Amino acid sequence: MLILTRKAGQTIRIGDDVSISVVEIRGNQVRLGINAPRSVTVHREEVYDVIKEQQQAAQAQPADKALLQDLWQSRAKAKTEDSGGEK
Amino acid sequence: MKIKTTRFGEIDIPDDKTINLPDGLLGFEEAHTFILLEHDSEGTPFKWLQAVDAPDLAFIVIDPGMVLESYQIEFDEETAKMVGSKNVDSDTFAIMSIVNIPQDEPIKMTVNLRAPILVHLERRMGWQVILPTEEYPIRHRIFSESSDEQSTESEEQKNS
Repeated sequence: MLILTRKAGQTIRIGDDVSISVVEIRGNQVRLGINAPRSVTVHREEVYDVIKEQQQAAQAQPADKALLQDLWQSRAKAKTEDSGGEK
Repeated sequence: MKIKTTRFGEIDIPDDKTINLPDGLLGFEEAHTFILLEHDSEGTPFKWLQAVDAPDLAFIVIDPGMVLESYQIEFDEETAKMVGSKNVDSDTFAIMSIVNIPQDEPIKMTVNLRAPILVHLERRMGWQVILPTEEYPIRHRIFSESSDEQSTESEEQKNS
């Protein structure tokens, strides 16, 4: 990993198309500005990782028609009961 | 055309109904072609987003507006350029969110409101976007927590 020290207002350039600027430093938070082409996705790492893991688990789910139907029907029922609706 | 799926066997799908995800999905960037199936979930708003070229790869999805009526998303400039529109009106776009069902407690299933998949209906193209704000959670319970008690009760009744 390349480690550089920057001050607020300074920029790092990565390749021809990507740059990262330190917009502001406040306490223990750094505000970064990122310029990158659309083809390069930029995410907060922890958000990306959480979603990626979650989706990997999600795609392993088997199909269970009865389960989905049961659960959805019972929710519809619960909603009616909550609003004091008639049957 | 016929496609092979692990969950639903071999199925016949109309060629013009496939959705192209140029960037794939988060964690599945190489999967580009999908089809939406209502195969196995009639009577519910759940659908399956099935990869056309990977029989095993499929996700349960739902229109997030069905789970949270107030759900609304806005684009930044970059995303608007990418999807080809500034607005997410329901004539132009379908929005779908991936559902996670914990195997042991399915009633606690959650939907990812933070990273919806936007599908441009006419262009048949889609993108999964991570919303820039923290307003919507990655795991939003589909069924309210009060229904947890109910399911525990019925479990006890079953066991007694």
